Formats: sequence, structure tokens, C-alpha cells
Amino acid sequence: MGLGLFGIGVSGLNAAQAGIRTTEHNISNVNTSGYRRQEVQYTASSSQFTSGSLFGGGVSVDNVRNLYSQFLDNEVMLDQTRLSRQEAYSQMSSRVDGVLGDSRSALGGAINGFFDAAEEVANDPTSSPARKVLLAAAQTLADRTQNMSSTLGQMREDTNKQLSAIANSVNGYSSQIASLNLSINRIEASGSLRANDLRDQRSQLVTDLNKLVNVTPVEQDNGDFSVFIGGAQALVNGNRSYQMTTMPDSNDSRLDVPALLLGNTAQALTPDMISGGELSGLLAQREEVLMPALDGINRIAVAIGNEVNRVQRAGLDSSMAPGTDLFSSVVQQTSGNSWIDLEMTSGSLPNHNYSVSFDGAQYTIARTPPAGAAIPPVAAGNEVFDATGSSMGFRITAGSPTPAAGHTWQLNFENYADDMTVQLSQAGQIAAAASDADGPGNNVNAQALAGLRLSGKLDDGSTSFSGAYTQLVGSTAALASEADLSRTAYEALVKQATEAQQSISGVNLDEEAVNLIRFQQAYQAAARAISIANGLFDEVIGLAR
Amino acid sequence: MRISSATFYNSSLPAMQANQSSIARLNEQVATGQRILAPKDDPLDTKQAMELSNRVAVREQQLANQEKAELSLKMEATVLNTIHTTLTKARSLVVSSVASQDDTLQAQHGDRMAAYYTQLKDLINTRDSNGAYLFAGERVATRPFEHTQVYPDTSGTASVSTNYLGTPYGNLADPAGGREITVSQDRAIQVSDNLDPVLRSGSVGGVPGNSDNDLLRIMDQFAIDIRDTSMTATQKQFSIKYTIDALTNALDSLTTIESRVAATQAELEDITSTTEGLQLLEKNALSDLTLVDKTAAIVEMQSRQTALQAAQQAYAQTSKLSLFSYM
Repeated sequence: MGLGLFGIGVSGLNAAQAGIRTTEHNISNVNTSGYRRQEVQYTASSSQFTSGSLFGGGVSVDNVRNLYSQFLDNEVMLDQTRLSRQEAYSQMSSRVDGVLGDSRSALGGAINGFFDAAEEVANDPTSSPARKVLLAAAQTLADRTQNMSSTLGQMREDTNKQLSAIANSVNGYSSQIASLNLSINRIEASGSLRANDLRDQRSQLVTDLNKLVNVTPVEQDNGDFSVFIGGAQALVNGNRSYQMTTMPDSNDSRLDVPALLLGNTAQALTPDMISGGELSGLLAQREEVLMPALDGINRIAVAIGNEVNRVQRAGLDSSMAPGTDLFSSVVQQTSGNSWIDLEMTSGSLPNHNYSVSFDGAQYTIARTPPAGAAIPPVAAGNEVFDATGSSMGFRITAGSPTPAAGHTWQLNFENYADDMTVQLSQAGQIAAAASDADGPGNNVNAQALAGLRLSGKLDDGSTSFSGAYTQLVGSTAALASEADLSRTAYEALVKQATEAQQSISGVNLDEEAVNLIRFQQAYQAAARAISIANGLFDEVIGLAR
Repeated sequence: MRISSATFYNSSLPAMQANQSSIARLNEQVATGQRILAPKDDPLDTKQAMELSNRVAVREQQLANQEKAELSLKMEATVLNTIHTTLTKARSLVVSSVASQDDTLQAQHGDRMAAYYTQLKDLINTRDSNGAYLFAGERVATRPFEHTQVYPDTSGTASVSTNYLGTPYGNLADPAGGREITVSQDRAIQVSDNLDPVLRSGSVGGVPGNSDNDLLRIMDQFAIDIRDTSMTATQKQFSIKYTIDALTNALDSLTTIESRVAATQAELEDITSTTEGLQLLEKNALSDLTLVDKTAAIVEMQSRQTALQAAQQAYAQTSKLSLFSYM
């Protein structure tokens, strides 16, 4: 019985010490991300039957547990992965928006400058200064187009690099999770121990990974976390992790897509498998904002080059010789001396080159170099559709001289905006006069050139060049502003969810201060109890003397 | 409700950040004077502003075209007016000539007619500031009217015909033969004329059997005839009448062209004032859309500053609250 008295006191001392240690641990980790506050679980020790009564046996430290709510943790993960997606989306689309809308580099001013100069040539067709100004304005327009296209092209390359960097980070996280799985397994296999801090670390890694790409963690019976991507593909399985990499898109070799390495083969992850995280934001932004902007600029450049060259070819230059292409050729003769004209419909123009041949009735269009399914031949004036029936954004009409059977041409759409240059070197080469002109004072063709500014040459004749550019800026701006709004919304959601989660798992220093006092008092009381028990023994020993 | 220390101490942070970024934005708006700093700030207004500034730019060029057209017309009108004066003076001279006047007077009249002839030939071959011939149609680099003067050789040799080297009358898009300048979206105005009707095509009425109505030739011939001592008074009288008719017809044709030019100038003036009015409206609309209301922006900036100070104060107060301070 005497031993019992000391034993109870010592158990109280130990319990209070455990409490103080845990409190100190909590205080130390107040700023550790992913840390969940811990508390000691006590159990009253089993009673002993002595002298006809049941007496308690003191306290025992049962376990140290961490406090969390799986529901709130999942909520934070879900909102965070959406926020990360929106952040990446809004950041990149703001850049595209900035490039298109920057008044120093914008196309609108250069388009107006070119046509202003064309009007001045029409006002004074024999004025050499006016012609030189037009050539310079053409150069400015080509430079701006090139510049804008290459800036957006650079962003496309940046996106490829960023995807590869994300894949590397993902691999870092998944291998750490796999090795933590192993460590936790070793500790917890020994029995009832729970590796709280390692588990917190692992959860934090999953949370961080989830910011890059949305993953589904599944806790196995043995305590391992398996991490799945896109619902089914395992990224981490026990202590094994699989490598993420990037590979060129099978539809567009300019674009990289994320892929998983299974054995030695890379298997592309489809966009629908990636619905959250920075990775999904980048992919969605590229598809919805960046590439439409890049292809849109190319389409406007092709339309301008095509129309300006067509008008230029229809006139006579200052020495009364037929005009030649002012900008890089959009339509190029490869056989025969006739011409075809292009009309832009509202479909998007593919970024490829094509060969066109005429058999006397229909035009046959084929990609160069050959790729993809055959394009059905079309008659003049009909919109061109690809093998799957989607519009290719243009129609072919007979130009002048009229095409004859056997004539062929090349259509240079691929990276046209990137390569757009001015082909004329002499101001006199500008074809200001009509083909039936009587002298250099004729300005009819220059008027036709100037008239291109306001006439609709895109969307089946309903949209002007600057109108198309305005639309492009407008639709990009709408997407960018929408992305900003939903980023703000997800920021608020993440803030709320994190606060709710932290209200359970976060450390509160005042609470820990109270705990410290509580455990200190418990320790002092237990020590006092031992001292009293000691006094009792002294009394008994004193009696025996 | 339980709250974690991190949440408690950091709660003023988002408010501080939001206010700071608002202040930075307002700063930029006031500094640049622009309400829309990037298209995404207001996609709809951006689109409208781009359309408006396109229209303003087009009108700017239209105004430049109108100015150019006005200059061309003014120059043409001046030259036509001088031609008119010359022809009127030449006709007065011919009217005052009498077949029987003495030789000295006839010699004077011959010389004066030769002077009007030279003046006219210079005027119809006028060049603009770029060196382009005004009345050559499209062949602006070619001196249009070539005529070899026979006077003062008065030995009876007949004067030669004028050689017109410009674009022939009727060969141009506009039958009256002149260049057009586009002054608005659907109006192009004629800024030069063909003088062929004045100089060669005017029909001389009342002169049966004579289809020759070449003005330079007739004027040259008059100068020769009036001094030709071998001609009878009747012949001279005929020459006087013939020249008066030719000059009268030429003046009629010239007046037609002059009134066309005057009417076009009036129309142009009207088009210009319309264009200026529309451009002003569009410029104002553009300013309303894109320019920042500086007063409102500065007032908002002050209220944001107050809010930022409040958030900073709140943080300073909150961060002092800790139980450990009392232990």
C-alpha cells in the first residue's frame, strides 16, 4: 500500500510532465505549416481492491493525439486546388491581356497608320514622300505583328517550360510522400504508436502537391497514403512513386502536355483528368486564351497580307508595271499564271501551309508537308471544311487571271504573323494606279487599298481588320477579368475553409499558456502529494522508534 | 469559437493588402489619367473605346484628305480664275479692234494678243507644288498643251494646231476627267478637271464650214491676222468676229468648270464641318469612357488611406494581446 501512495504521485508527476512537453511542442510549432496541435490523452489507472474498497491507481498517459477534422481538411484541399488553378489561369491570361492591350505594341494603331498612309498616296499618287511613308507604315505593321506574335509565342514556350517544372516538383512531392509512407509504416507497425508529426508532414506534402495538380489521397489499412491523379492513375502507391513528365501534344507539336511514365512509355494525361491545381490552370488558359490569341493574330495578319497583296497585284506601279506582293505572300503561284483569292469566314484559320490545285471544276487542298486526313475538294466560293467537317476558316474564289485546270498554288498560313515582312524595297513599286490607268496621276488602286480599312474582310465580309483585333482584345479581356473574379472568390473560400480548419487544428498561444499553468499546478500538486506520503512514512517510522 | 493564434494575429493582413493594392491602383490611374489600365479592367468599355478610337483615327485621316482636297480645289480655282481674267481681257481687246485701224494700233493689238496667248499657255500648263501638271489628266508628268507660236511672223503663214498630250477627254473614270480624293466613307470628290472643252472642243457657232476651234491657234492667228497687211478689211472683220465667238465659247465652258469647282468647295466645307462635329462627339465619348475622374479618384484614395491606417492600428493593438505578457 505504501508503494501505491508514491506510485500514484509519480504517475501524476509524469502525466503533468507529458502535458508540459506537449504544450511546449505546440508552442514551438505555432508557425509550422501543416502542423496540427497535439494533446495528451490520459486514462485513470485501473483500480485496486484493498480493504474492502476500490481505490484508483493514479493516471497513465494513454496516447498523444493530434486534433483535426478530415472533413475540414478535405474542404481546404478542394478549395485550394481550385484557387491554384484560377491563380495560374488569371496570371497567364493577364499577361496575354496586357500584350494585346498595350497601346505601345497594339496592332490597332499600326493598322490605322498603314491605311492612313495609303490614303495619303491616294491623295497624291505621284508624291514620293507619301509612298515612302506608306512603305514605312507597312514595315511598322509587319514589325508590330511579328513582335506581338513572337511575344505570345514566347509565352507558349514559357508554358511548356512551366509544365516541365511542375512535373519535376510533382515528382519531388510524390517521392517524399512515398518515403514518408515507409517511415510511418515502420513506426506504427510496432503497435499502438501513432507517428503524428510524420503524418502531419505527409498531409502537408499532399496539400502542397494538390496546389500543383489535384490528387485524391486514399488512406490504406496499413496507414499508407496512396495518391491518385485523374481519379485512376496512381502517382504514389505505398512506398513507390511514379514519374510525371511532359511530351508533345499529338495534335499540335508546338504544345507540350503532361504525361505519366509507366515503365518506359509516357502516357499523356488528358485535360479532363486534370481538373485542378496550377497544372490545370496553365493548360486551360493555354487552350482558352493564349492559343486563340496567337491564332487570332495570325488570322488577322493572313487576312491583311492576302487583301493588300491582292489589291497591289491588281494595279500598276509608278512606272506603269504590274504591282507585286507588298507583304509576304499568302497565296503563291506554283504552276500557271492565274490567281485564286481567299475570303475569310468566321471559322478559325489553321496554322498550317496548304497546297491548292485546280482541276477545272474544283479546288483540291492538301496540307504541306502532308499530314492528317484528306480535305474534301471544294468548288469556288464554297467554304473549306476539313475531313471531320469543321470549318477551316476560308473559301477560295477565282482571281484574275482566272484559274485554268492544272494550275497550282501554295497557301502560307503557318506562322505567317511571325514571318510577316515587307517585300517591296522601292517606294515606286507601290501600285497606286489602276490596271487601265493612263498615267501615274491615277490613284484608283491606292483608293482601293485605302478602302480596305473600313471594308469587312473577315467573318464573311462583316468584320474589318481592326474590328477583328478589337474582338480579339475584347474576348481575351473578358476571360481575364472573369478569371480575376473567380480567383477572388476562391481566395475568400480558401480563407474561410482554412480558418475553420485552423479553429480545430491550429495552435492558440493563450490556450497553451493556460495549459502550461494547468500542468504546472498539477505537477506542483502531485509533488506535494508525494511529500505528504513521505511525511506519513516518517510518522510511522517515528512510532517504531 | 476557438480561433488559432495565426488566424487571430493575421486577421488584419488581408485588409491591409487590399487597401494597399487599391491605393497603388488609384495612384497609377491618377498618374496616367487612364481609368482602364488593362483591357481586363473593363472588357466591354475597352471594346467600345477601341472602336471609338478607330473611328476617331479614320476621321482624322478624312479631315487630312479633306484638307488636301481643299488645297487642290483652291489651287485649281485660282488658276481657273486667272484664265478667266486672261480670256476676258483677250476678248475685250478683240472687241475693241477695228479692221480699219492704223498700223501702229494693229501692231499693239497683235503684241497684246500674243501676251495673252503666252499667259494662257503658261496657265493651262500649270504645275502643282509636286511638279505635277494640273490639267494633264493622269499623265501628270507630261506637259499637256504643246503649241508652236507663229506670231510675230505675219507673212501670212497659218498658225498650227495645239497638240494635247494629257489624258484624252472622256478617257477617265469621271467623264469630266479628273482625280478624285476620298473625303468620307462614301464620298469621293473630283479635285481636277480637263481643260480640253475650253481649249479645243468648244463649238464656234455661226461659222459655217469652219470646225477649227482650237483656242491657242485662234489667238495666235488673230495676232497674225490683225497685223497682216495683205488681208482685206472684210477678211480682218471676219477674223475679229471669229475670235470673239471662240473666246466667248471658251469662257462659257470655263464658267461651267469654275462653278463645278465652287460647288465642290462648298460641299467640301460642309463635309468638313460635319466630320469635325462627329469627331468631337466621338472624342468626348472616348474621354468619358477612358479618362479617370481625378476628383473621385483622389477622394477614394483618401478613404482607402484611412482604412489602411485603421487596419494597421488594429494589427498593432491585436499583436500586443498575449497571455504570456502577464505571466
